Amino acid sequence: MYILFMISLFLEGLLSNIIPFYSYISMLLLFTSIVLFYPYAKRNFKKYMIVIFIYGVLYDLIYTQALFLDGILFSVCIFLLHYLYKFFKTIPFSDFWLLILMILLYRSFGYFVLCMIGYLQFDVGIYIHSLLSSILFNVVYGILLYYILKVLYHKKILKQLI
Amino acid sequence: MHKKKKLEFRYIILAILLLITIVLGGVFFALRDGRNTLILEGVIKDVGNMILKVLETPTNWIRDVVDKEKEKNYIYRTYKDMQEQYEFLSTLESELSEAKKELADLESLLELNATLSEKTYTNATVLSRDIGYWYNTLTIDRGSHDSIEVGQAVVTSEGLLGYISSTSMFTSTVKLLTSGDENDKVSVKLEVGDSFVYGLLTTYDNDTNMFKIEGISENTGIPKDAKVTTTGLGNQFPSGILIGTVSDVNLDHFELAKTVYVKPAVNFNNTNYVTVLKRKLDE
Repeated sequence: MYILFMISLFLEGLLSNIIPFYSYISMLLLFTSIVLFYPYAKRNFKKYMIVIFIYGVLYDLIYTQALFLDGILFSVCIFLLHYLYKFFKTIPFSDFWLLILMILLYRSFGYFVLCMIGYLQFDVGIYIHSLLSSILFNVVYGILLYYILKVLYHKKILKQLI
Repeated sequence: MHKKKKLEFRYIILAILLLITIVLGGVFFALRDGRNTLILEGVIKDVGNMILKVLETPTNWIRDVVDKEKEKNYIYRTYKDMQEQYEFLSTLESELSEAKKELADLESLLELNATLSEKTYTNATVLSRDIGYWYNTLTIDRGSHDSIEVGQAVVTSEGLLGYISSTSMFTSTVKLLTSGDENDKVSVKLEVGDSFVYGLLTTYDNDTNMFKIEGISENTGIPKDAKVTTTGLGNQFPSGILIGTVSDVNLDHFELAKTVYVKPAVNFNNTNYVTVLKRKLDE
């Protein structure tokens, strides 16, 4: 788990230099890996919440100036995921629907907080662009990660990582 | 029993509201420009970005090789063009030395130690760009250890990119001009013939990729392609840094105030290496 999150954290930094500003690709690799890892960590939910809060804060400290905003946003989103997972788990491809929903919620919460404190001005166009650009790349990364996690779980390597 | 539950519910609501207020206050405090970086924050930022710098080394090497090849082709084409312009060089050289002498004379006359346009340079490499989508920032590998300070101008070979919004020991965060922050108005001048028209660079439109200049009161006609540069007034930006060229000029309904649209000189997506400028006047 820690290795996976670390890889996602630094991969996001590395890829940020390649992807242009205001393009249709916006990365949330760490958040995607946190959401997809949830089914493997839900038995130890409290510990998982602490870990993702720490990773959120780490993300903010390294990349943004927001100190702890992402720590809280990650925690809130996973807290909601914890309750939504029960309703979604019977639907086919539930992990991907939940991933899309969580990305939308994460982007929305982040934008509304920054608008509320006056850091950004609300603009529907920018808001919709942020949502659309976040989904595409992260779902592709999510699909890739989903199968890697599944293979690791079946080979019982994942249990050692948790 | 029911009353007790109702009271508990009220306390929960109150606690949630209090928590939201604290979070909003904390984020507001954290995102202020020029905030002093906390010690632990600075250490984690430096260590994280150093790891990123090491991981980026192979990709940077490949990019440099590709860039060098492109540059070689560009230099050859430029060389051919310059060969034709060579004959004008001696005339320009004499004009430049004359202008430099005049400037030195005027400075000594006014007893100025440094003008607004004099600056010192620090080169830096970009470590990461715009992570978190909303912040419009870059992280560079130079910090307070390299005398980088909040507010200093950051440029590329093409023009002004942004300014330093926070520093830690070995890294700094650059806020781009495209951030559209209402509090970051840059004082600019537009070159109209031999004179200048002054205004304020206010916002950036993501759809058209243009800056907007407001507060121009002069009735002078502003031609298209007029150069827009910094004035060196108001903030720590040195004078004469290119921002872009005029693309369009609009008048308001009363035909009093002009709004000028500026095409940025900098390609914000091609920013791997930057230079931090410090006005000599501030030293």
